[in-house]
Amino acid sequence: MKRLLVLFLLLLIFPGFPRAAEAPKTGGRLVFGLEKDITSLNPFLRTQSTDEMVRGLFYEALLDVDASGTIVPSLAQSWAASKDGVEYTFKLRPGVKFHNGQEMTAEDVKWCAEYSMNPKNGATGLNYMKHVQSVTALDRYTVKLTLKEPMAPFLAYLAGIRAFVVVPKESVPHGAETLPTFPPGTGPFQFKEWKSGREIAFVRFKDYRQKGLPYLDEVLFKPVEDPTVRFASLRAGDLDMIERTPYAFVRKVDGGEVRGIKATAADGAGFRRLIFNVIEPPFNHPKLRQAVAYAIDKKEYLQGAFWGYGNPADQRVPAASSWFIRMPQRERDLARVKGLLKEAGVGSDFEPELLGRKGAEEEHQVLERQLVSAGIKVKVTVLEFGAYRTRQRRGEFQMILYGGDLPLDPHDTYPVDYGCGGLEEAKAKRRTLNVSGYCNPEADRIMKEAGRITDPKRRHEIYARAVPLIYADAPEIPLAFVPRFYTYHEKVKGFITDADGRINASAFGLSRVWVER
Amino acid sequence: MIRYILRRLIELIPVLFLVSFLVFFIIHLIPGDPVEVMLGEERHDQATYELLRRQMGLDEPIHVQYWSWLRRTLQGDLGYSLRTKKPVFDTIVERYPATIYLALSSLLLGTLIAIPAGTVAAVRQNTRWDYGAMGFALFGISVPNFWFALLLILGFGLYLGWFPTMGYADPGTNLAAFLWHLTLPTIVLGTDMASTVTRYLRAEMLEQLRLDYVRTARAKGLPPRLVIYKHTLKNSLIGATTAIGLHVGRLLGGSTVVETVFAWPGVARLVLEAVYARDYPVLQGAVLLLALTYVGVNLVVDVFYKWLDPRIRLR
Repeated sequence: MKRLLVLFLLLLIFPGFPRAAEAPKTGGRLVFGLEKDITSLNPFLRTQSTDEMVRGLFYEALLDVDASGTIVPSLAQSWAASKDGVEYTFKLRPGVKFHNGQEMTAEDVKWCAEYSMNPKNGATGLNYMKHVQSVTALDRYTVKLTLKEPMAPFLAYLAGIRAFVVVPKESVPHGAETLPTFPPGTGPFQFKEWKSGREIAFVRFKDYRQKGLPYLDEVLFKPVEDPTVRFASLRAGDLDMIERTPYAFVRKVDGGEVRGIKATAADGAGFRRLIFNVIEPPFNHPKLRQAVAYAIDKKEYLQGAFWGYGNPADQRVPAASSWFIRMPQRERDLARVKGLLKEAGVGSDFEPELLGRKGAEEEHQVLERQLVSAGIKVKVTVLEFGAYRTRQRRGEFQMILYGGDLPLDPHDTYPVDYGCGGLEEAKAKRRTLNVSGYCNPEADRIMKEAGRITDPKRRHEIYARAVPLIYADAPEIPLAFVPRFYTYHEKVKGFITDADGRINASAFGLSRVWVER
Repeated sequence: MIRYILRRLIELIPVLFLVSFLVFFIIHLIPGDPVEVMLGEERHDQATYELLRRQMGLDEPIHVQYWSWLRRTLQGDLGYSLRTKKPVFDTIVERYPATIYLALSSLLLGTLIAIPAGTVAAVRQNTRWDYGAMGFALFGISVPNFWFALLLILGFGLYLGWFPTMGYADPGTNLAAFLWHLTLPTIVLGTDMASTVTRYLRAEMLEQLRLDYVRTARAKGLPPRLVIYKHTLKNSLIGATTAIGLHVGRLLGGSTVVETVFAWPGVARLVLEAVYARDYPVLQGAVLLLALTYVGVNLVVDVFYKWLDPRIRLR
């Protein structure tokens, strides 16, 4: 009897037999629900984020970034920079095949880099490659890039497919001309066909350089614009995985109300900020900008507009980033708002306009409520994206609710988005990246230095002086980093994404995903 | 008859001109341009923006752009999509079959519901058949397509799992899957059409049933079924045909709402995508083809009238 009791107790502690560790299974198909269809067949032109996301499946670059943000080798297996920081030499992996069977050589890489550098092609990567003076193929597997002047973040620019993808030379026509189909790439999946509005089909690339990958036989992308239907399709099993899940549904998934569905977040995929037009009244007056800043409660904003997901932001990089700078915070303080409004000499007729775009209605409502209750009678104007964009570019706004991307390097953002070069553009009614029209010559001077130095610690010190100067003036109010959620069936295993929300890269993503049958 | 048809086809030409002119200028009046939309919130410089504008021919004055487009269209070249760079004609034609299948199936369902319902409602006026049919029609008219579509998706697609929640399958590849995917969108559009047509048909039938010839026919001893279905119904269909014809035109243009909600790869959804992207060539080409379709359907309806009522003279 005692023995039975001991056995019974043991069974309670160790229920069942130990399960085998989940091992990846080769084979199977994944059906992925997209928010929009892809548009461009030319991998050098980015027209929207969906194109870039899907390209991660079948194109690669010299370097890549892993899920934690470290630069890792991709098509280049090693690299070296010259002492003066002007020459970068890359040794390519031998034996890498394109999807058409051809071998990748330095000539192909050179052609692709030059395609991106050529202004006539209008490539998105021009922004990064314009710093390159020349590209040379030293031998079959070695490429050298020579810069015009030393540039600290250049390696970061090459990490990922934004600067240029590697395709066989001559496989893309020059200029933004017509293309019958995608050029071949080197990625784990091979493009099969695109039925407009229906699906984009990919199959496993058998000769992928990372042996054993990918696990999946096929990936099918289906554009389903309506997010409610997209989630319903996931639950019904018509889709295995979806992107951009509405936060209300993610709350349900997290709360365990939706069985069989899991969620994974891309933490920094969304960045929200309130930008002022600083060269025209009323917000050319810094006290009025500060008044708005003190009226905002970022935590409540996240609660109301994002179901509590996300983290408040006070600068362009999140707290986890190595470039984060500690700065004094502005909390909601109604007394200060009142005081600042009085000092600025505005009365009850102060009715600024907030320009927003369709789709962000919850955010507008929360912000409007916060500002009005603080004594700033804001009027919200909501426009469709194209119209909103036109007004933004022309600077026809007082306040605008805007987004932003995670910078590859602070040199990418701070001198450009808040630099005096943008002031000229703003005056000419052609704002691109400096949306506010802000110009602080002192901060500018400091930041230009930081771009030339390579030592990260010294660069950090320099930014720690310049960045607080900018935010003290409040040309914009960073609001939050908000995640974007992928939700999927629990049979989909091994999915990891990075802060940007990429679904495939050389170190993580759909190439390492398998489905349990 | 042939002369009539030819004349109508010739009258098509000024209509198409007018439509193309209006569409071109209205679309270009909308704020926002394709390059701005394409580049999104992406880092780029002014030079790239201007280069892309030039490559797409957007930097020329608007009347020059219109003439270039018109000239090429008259030669049969509808240009290239600003987004995909594929020929506009191919882009539209690729998406047309899905819209046509949905239009035909909805038309079929709509008439299969409306003709019996309208007839019964008229013949048994003020009975529960009548109230039932009119109640259904009122529901169909009042309920927005969008909401009804979501209801069907959640109910039959998700909770019951009887039908796919979205998407499309090729009839050539897999007929069963095609029909399965076709069902829910057809129910939405078919009931929408049936609601209006039922009411029209009932009203027409009630009119006809009051006329003398009906009393005469019954007095002669003709069975009621013959009177109703052969004579009255056929006469009533003339009025109802107008309503049906309008619906056919709209269905062939595609329902933007239904196609978007069900992720149905039709022409209407293409047009919506093109509007958001300011893809002018696709928009102009699509609207032109849709106008052509509408006028064509109108012509068929008018010819159909003559078959229904030989007294009608086609002038």
